[in-house]
Amino acid sequence: MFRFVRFCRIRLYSLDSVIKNTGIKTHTIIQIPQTNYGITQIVKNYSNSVIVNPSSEDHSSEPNVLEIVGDNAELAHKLNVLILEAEVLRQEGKGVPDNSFLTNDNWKHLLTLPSLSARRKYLEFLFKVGKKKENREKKKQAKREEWEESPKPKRDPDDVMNYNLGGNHFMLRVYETTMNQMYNNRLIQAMQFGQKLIVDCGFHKNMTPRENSNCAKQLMLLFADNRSSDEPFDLHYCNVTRDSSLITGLNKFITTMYEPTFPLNLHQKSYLEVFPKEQLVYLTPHCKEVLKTYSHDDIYIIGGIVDKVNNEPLSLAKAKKEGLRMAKLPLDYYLEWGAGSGKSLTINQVLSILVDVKRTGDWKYALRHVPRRKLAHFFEESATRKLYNAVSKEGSIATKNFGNLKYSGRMSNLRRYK
Amino acid sequence: MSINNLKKLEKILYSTYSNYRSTAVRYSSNCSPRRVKIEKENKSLVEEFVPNTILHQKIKTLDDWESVREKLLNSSKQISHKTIDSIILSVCISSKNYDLGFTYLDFLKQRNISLGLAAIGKYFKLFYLANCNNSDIGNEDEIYNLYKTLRAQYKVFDAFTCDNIIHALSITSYWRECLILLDEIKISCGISKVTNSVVAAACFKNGDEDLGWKLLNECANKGYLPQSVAYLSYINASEHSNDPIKQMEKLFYFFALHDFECDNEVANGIVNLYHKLNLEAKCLNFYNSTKCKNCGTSLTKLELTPTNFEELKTAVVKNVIIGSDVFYKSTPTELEQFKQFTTNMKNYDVVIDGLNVAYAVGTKQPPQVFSFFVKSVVKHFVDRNKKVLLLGRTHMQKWPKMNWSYVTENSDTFLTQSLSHDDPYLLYCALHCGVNTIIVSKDLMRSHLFKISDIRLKILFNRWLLQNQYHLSHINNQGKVFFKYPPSYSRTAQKFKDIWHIPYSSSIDGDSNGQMWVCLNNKVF
Repeated sequence: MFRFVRFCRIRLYSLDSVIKNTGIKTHTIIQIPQTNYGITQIVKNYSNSVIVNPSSEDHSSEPNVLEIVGDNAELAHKLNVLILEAEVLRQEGKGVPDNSFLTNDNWKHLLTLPSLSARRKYLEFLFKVGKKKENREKKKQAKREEWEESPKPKRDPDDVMNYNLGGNHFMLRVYETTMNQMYNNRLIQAMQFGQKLIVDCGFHKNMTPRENSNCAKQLMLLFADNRSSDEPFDLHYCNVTRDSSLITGLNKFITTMYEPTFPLNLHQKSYLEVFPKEQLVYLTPHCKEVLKTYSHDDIYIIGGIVDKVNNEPLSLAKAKKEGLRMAKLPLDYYLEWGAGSGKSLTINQVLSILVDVKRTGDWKYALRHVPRRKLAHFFEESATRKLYNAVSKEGSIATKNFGNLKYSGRMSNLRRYK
Repeated sequence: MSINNLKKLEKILYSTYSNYRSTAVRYSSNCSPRRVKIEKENKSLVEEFVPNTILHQKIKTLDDWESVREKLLNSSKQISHKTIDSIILSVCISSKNYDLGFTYLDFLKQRNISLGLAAIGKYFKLFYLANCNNSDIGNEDEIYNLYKTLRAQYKVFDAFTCDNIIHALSITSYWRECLILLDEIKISCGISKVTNSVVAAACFKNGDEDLGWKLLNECANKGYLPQSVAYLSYINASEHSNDPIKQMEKLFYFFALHDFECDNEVANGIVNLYHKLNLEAKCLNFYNSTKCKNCGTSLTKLELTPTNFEELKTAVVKNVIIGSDVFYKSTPTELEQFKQFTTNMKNYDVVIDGLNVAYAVGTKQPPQVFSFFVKSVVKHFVDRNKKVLLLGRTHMQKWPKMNWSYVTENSDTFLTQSLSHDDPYLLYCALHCGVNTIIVSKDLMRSHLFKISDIRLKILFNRWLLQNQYHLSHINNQGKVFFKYPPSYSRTAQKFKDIWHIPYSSSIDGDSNGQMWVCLNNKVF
């Protein structure tokens, strides 16, 4: 029935054009006659109207199947399916990067993903990464052009601000290597006399690849934050497995990590074998004990976990199993938390808090490292500030952009920092 | 001078210098900063812009398509020659405007534009959607030939294409090809419930009933709800079979086994079939009563069999209490203690989740309120001569003595350590005590349900919890307790003598959700 109606309509369309040519009004004829239902169906052939694209793609940018899966026929077949799947998604206008952008590692990761939606999300993620890169390049290019077009400031050769010898500056320049040496000196002093802090790197098996890479980055930041503080901890990374994705990820950030002179202690052993058990305190958010007074004699353990996917109490279970003392940061005592975003902190934030509380003994000061957006009243305050900025500074434009407070807030921020 | 001070000084000097420099640049350049246009991915484009352009325009002739296509191609970078056909066709499909899709295909044919694999997949889908209610399809062979040409051209098919081809072939006489394609999907991912149902429908339609049931059971065992297209096809097929009633009963037992509800369409299909067989059948709303107004029988409760019960108990211990690590929710010594406790345990009538009751109006109350709540609930059941077990945590012992001593005197308590979860123990105790034990808790236990990974046990768990859980609604100042009681019937397909009651969800009147049933009388007058 359905096809028949459609057919009628097509015939009517052709009628339509005839009628148009003769100048008769059309709207009286669009009615489909109801009585014609009994007539035998006229089947139109749609398959004729499809022309299959003969050659699908140029094969130069196709991934090398042999390189990725070796001679595993089953996996190779699956990979071929996935390549086609990505192609179909690309043709549907979904966010999928070009084959030339996808590396062999990307394909290997795609092969491990179990479902369609997981693969689609991963491809979209890669697509966004690619776009970001592209946009960054564009911005850079534009800036460079602007700089080249603009007249350059003339440098006065007699200016005292010049650093070179001819410029006769009254101080020596402090180079980055000098600063680095100073920081490292502090770390080495901490290794001799400072308080010890343990990071437990043994949770890589409980984390997804993404979490592992995030955790590696946080471990790098943790090291950097500790190094640049005035009174650093003596850091010990325990339970280190060299070939785990977590540690290889960390090694990508800190390439000189394994050198004997590098001021960081890496232990393949557990902290139980390295330090006396009585001194150890595991910092875990799931326990009930609150760390109200900071002890300078204890050795605190931070669990190297990023839990975006599963939030089982891994560190609590471990501490319970090993019979260690446990404590959590006094987050509820000093801060009023907002709804929603949770009370999770990154590993480097925890370190920053500990460094500060060690130096000052003031929790309120130390807890400034908790992201402000997680606290109550943050959004109310920021909204009024943005509104104020929008009204007072933009003037007439403000009324136009009133709906887009986020945008104008950003603009005013930009202006402030210029 | 210390190195810190040196650094600071350098910073200050450098910042003044850079300020000086940047102002110089700004004043000397004296031109407005150029805006950098950055291309961003725009989702609303495909979801709003394209549909608006296509659907809000009268497209009559093929030349209209030409202009529309040009317009879309010029509108954004995201729409290219490679993607446009697929995008237009998917808009036609999602707006259910199949005619439009076919005219577009005509246009493409006329202009000699070839289609990519994605667009061809869309064509298959379009073919299925436009023809799925047709009894007679004329151009089956064309579809099949197209499939064969694709087969020759591509070594493999991806899941999307497989899916679309299965849809199209399932309504043709070449439906057996679908089974090969189903296996091809399995290489890269699981089979969706829609695809599964479509193939099952094809099986029923073409007389391969066993295979159809196999597919439906596969679907159900994965926890997916089969689509009504499969049921409708089955009902149609059984109308022409020797013993339609027996066929239908098979379907009803399937509903009952998996706790499925069908939708309006299927319910109407069943009723129509019964009317054709001159049997009594009616869809009606029960309005919270257990008695059917049509036939006068009452809905019954499904009791769990003892073996099911044992299975459920072991599943709770294995998956919920222990899980992947005992230390997550408890400790081994505590578990041992608990096992001893349960072996010597009496059969309790009521198991109370102490903390859930205590925190009924929030956790920011004084302990007097907590203990009063717990005492009131315990008193409620003790007054009715019930044996009560209360589960809680050790810190409850610090509550005011007056109320707490009443609780300890009149009921048995098991207190877990403050670090452990008490819900899993609650579930286990209640299961241990027997079929009729009541649980008092407001918790819906969804997280524990999730941990029981077996679909069949999940259904059993849900049934058991629905029938045995009292939800505390409020307690007045005199200590009188009000509960939300469980319903006295189970909402599953059930048979009483020759009368079947099948639950269905009506999409038309949403208010009567969970109250609609089909009443079917198998007895011939």
